[in-house]
Amino acid sequence: MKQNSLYRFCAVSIILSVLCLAIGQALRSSYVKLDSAPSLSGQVAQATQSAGSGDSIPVPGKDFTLADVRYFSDKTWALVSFEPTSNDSFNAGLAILQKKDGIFQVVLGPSSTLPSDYSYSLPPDLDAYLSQKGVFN
Amino acid sequence: MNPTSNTERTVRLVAVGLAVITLVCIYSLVRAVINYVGSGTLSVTTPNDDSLISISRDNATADVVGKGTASVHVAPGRYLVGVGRNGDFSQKVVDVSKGNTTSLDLSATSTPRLPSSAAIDFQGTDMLLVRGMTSDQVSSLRKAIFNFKHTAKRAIINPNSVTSPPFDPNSATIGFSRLFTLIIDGTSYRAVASWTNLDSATLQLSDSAGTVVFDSDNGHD
Repeated sequence: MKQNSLYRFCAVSIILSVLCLAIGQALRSSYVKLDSAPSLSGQVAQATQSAGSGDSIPVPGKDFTLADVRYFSDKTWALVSFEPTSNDSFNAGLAILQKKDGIFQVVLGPSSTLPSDYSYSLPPDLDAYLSQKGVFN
Repeated sequence: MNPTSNTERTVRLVAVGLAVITLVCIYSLVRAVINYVGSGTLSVTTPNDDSLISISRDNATADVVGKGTASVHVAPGRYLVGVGRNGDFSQKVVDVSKGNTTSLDLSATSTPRLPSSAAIDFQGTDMLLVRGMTSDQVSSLRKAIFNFKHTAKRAIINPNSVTSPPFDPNSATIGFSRLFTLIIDGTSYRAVASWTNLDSATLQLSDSAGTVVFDSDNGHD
């Protein structure tokens, strides 16, 4: 009798576990949680779509790292230099971000050089820094 | 050793193990339910089935959420939605709130995300070249127009309006200039291009009342 109760308990546990897993999986399948990453790296990864990187986007820390982040014009502009970690198809480069609608967005790049036409579009301190670094072509 | 007691002990151990597993599954389900209930829905549509849709936010990774269309649950907050296709890319900031659906229609475009002088459709420059200006000088005029109006899309020089002012032998000013009518995004200006070397030129714009509204020597008037 007692053993029958244990068998029943085991059966109920299995069914309950399977149900919990199934329902949990169904809920999780449409829920997207973005993992923590260094500031600006998510936006840079996302902007690599403009370089036609295929069906995936690089993962900060796994595919690339931010080598240098500099802020300009009262922290409303940022210059990010990034380097690949292991992925050969991902090249080192830089991206320029501008804070718009409360969030930094990549407005130029990712690229290794920048057209000089954009020199006039940038704040003077960032323009001067890029000119000094010879980034414009 | 009693075989019945051994079996019962085994079943009891299995039951305890299953109970632990069940509790973990229930905990996992509760967490999933809490996340789901506390989330908002982000729905993105694009005109092309092969457009890659991604989201990112400050201090977080970016993630691909779909192709063509996507409907996902996310924690409330501000997100940067990106749509990429064949090298084109567009992005938009959206706010997602708990229990609500935020819908967005976005298409990947080749439009630069940062305006530049190169984006200005500068027409009628041939007449300036015919009238003796160099391509470098014309290029500097394009940049001056951009400085005058960063959002300028089209600048048209009326070719019939290009004139060379008469040379004044008594003037102490060294240099040359051309006068012309310049229409920037539908607004007409009287323009003066002046130069003292072949590499660059300055641009002065006056409105219909004759007031100087821009001088590239000084920036905005």
